Amino acid sequence: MSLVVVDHVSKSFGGLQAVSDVSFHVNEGEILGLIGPNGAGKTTLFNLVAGAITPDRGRVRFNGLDITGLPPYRISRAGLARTFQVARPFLGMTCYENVLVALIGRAHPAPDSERPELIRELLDFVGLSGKESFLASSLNLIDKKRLELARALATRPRVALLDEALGGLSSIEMDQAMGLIRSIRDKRGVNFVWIEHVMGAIMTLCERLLVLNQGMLICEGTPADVARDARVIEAYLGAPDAGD
Amino acid sequence: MEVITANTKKPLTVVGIVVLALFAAFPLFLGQYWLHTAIVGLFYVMMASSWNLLAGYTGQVSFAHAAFAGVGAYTSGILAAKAGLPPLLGLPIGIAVAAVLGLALGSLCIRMGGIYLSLTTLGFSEILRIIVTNEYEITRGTMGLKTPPLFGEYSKTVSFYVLLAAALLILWLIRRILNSDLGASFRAVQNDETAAASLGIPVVRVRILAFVIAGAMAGFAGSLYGHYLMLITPHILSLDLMFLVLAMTVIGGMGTFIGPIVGALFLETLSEYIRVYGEYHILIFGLVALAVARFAPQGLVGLWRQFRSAV
Amino acid sequence: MTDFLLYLTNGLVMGIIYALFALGVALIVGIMNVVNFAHGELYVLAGYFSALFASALGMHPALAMIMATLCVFVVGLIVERTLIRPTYGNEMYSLIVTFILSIVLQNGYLLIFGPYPRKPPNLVTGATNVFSLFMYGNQRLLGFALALVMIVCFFALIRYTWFGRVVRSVSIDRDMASLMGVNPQRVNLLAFGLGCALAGAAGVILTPIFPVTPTIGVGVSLTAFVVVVLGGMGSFAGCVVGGILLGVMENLGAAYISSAYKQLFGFIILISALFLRPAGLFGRKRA
Repeated sequence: MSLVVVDHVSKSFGGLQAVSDVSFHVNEGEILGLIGPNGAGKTTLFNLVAGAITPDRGRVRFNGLDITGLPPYRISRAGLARTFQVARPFLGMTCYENVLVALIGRAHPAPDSERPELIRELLDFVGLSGKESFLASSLNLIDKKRLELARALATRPRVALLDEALGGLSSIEMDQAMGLIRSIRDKRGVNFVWIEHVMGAIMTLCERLLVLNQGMLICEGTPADVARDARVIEAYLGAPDAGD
Repeated sequence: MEVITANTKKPLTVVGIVVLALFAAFPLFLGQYWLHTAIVGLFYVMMASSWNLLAGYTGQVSFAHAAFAGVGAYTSGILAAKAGLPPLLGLPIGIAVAAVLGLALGSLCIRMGGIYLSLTTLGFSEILRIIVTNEYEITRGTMGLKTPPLFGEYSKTVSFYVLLAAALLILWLIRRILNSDLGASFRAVQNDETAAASLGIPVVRVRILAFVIAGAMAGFAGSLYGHYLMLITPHILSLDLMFLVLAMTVIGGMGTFIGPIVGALFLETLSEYIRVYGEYHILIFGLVALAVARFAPQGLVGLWRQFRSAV
Repeated sequence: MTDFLLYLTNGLVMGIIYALFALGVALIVGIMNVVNFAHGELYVLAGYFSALFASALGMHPALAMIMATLCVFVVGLIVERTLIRPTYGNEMYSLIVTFILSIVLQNGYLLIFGPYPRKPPNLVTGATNVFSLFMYGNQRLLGFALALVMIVCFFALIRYTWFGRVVRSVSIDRDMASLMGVNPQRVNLLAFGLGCALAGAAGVILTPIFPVTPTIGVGVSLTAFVVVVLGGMGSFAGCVVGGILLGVMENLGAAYISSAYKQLFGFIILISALFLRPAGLFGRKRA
């Protein structure tokens, strides 16, 4: 069964067609990659799915439920989490409090007595052991991303949208992050839609890729298929006269 | 932001109880004049603390807080003066009207942030002030509306204890809210609305609720203050009073529980000392607030914490 | 009918001066996303300066006006450098700081100049018969003309200079200015100073007609906010239209409805406009 079904979704901003007629679905147990050149509309597509923006046309279904136009908090409570292109932890709050907010945000908030344990466990899981009382603003980039992941996991999602989980990380950190993503899928049964510019990583981790260009879905398939596709190559390398 | 750990909490509680006991004994050794200062100080403690809940914890810098106090004061004042309603019954009505207006203003501002929210609340506040000033028949305009005391005969000592109990109630409520799920939601919304919503926090509801709670608290404070002064003038909903509330919070430390309390009591006491030398106290408050905002954005509480961690 | 035309003329004259000081607010909001609550106090400062230069130093009134405006420009630069710059990126804090500043200035004026109204001598005297319908004060007509000239100069500045190009590009996209290789701190400094100077210019023009007192700046600030919001959310041209519209509405409303509630119109417009266009004065999305 498909967990997420995006059905002919379009969105334009003042004449600019940011996403046009995009359809795709996310299968159970999958890490779905979403790639495309800058400005292709990837983040806009995420915002449409997560409810930050309402599509002009088309529907989004999650877990059999029509979530089109629902406010973001309702979508989060339904079990669809997200992270942001630039990590957005609550900078003025501690790691503990950051995760706490996500426990409170659940449709049925976690009971008081279970919270400390849940939070510690999540922070351990993402590799932030012992940093409960650190302010989020004092963390380095990868730890901020870790915290954002822990927070997203605390909502108990079925699907998580990851926006450039690897951006700005060193190659060692990238390996750690990839390991983390895989173990979240395997141990916690979370499915991912993952926007990424680091091709090597996405080719390794994803079974299936979507390619977006100028708001349109131009290709869908296994990493090997996509790498051979002429339209994809053109989208990345540009038309012969548009080199930079 | 406050991080309370078990070992810093105990001595603070002891200090709090000692300070409170000392404060409660004021009528025994303070003259009438200084008792008045203490009462005004308690009014400002309620105002600054509740404004801080809205501005310091949810990030909605409202300029309508004095207006809410005015709404509370005029509602129970008019009901008492014109309809003969006992102030003890007028008080809850005043709170309710302020809360409803808080709901209206909070909803009006819900799609706005930052400076636009502030301009809207400023406009709202000025509209109220203009109406109150001009509807002479009902409010007696700048002449002021005479109101009876809250109950019984007028007594400064009784008023002091009433205001003290009220301030403690407000502070207890604020403390409860800050330590609750709602408090965590407030801070999440202030830090990053988009991220908070993505974690299931109903941002709209949280923001409006903050307006309602803060509005009701200001209405409560204003109503009590009006019945203490027994004369309500449009000054209570002016930007001058708003400035004092803001300056006290900023000087004490915005976004901290203790800050507004310290700021309100400190500034009110200071103003009595300065008053001897002429009416310069607003200017001096302003300069102090400007210096604090510029050099110590965390206020006196922030300075104290820096000092503590340095020692 | 003659009465009506008189009110209309009054509205027009006031409106164009509203537009002049509101342009200052629009400029500062557009470039820096800062609402300067002390805008009206800078208007008042220019009024005091012009009175001081003309009466105490014996300057020619025209020279006093120019000097006063320049002084306010310099004050604006100093305020930006010392108080506004540390608040970059935190619009809430800049708001609080300028609000405190406005109170400080009001009380400072009270201390220095006292509560009494102050004004410089008029530049011109007498009145002119307008359209052979009514007599209208020459000082007001001159004020109208001066404000109009200042506005034209401002638009020329925006249209034809390096600074204007930066202003226009920033109002489209904040990041574009840095792409153009402009030092954003310098642009902010200049924009703030210029915005304050516009308040100052309006101040020296109006003070001979409406002498300044320490607290009239509050009304000036609030009027400016209303005009900026009213004027199509931040286009400079909209500011001019909004200023004239508000000036005319206030004067007609005061004459025919109620003078006590004159200001109320503006605030109701302010709130409804912000409610309908919550993205803000420049229609930009919040980050």
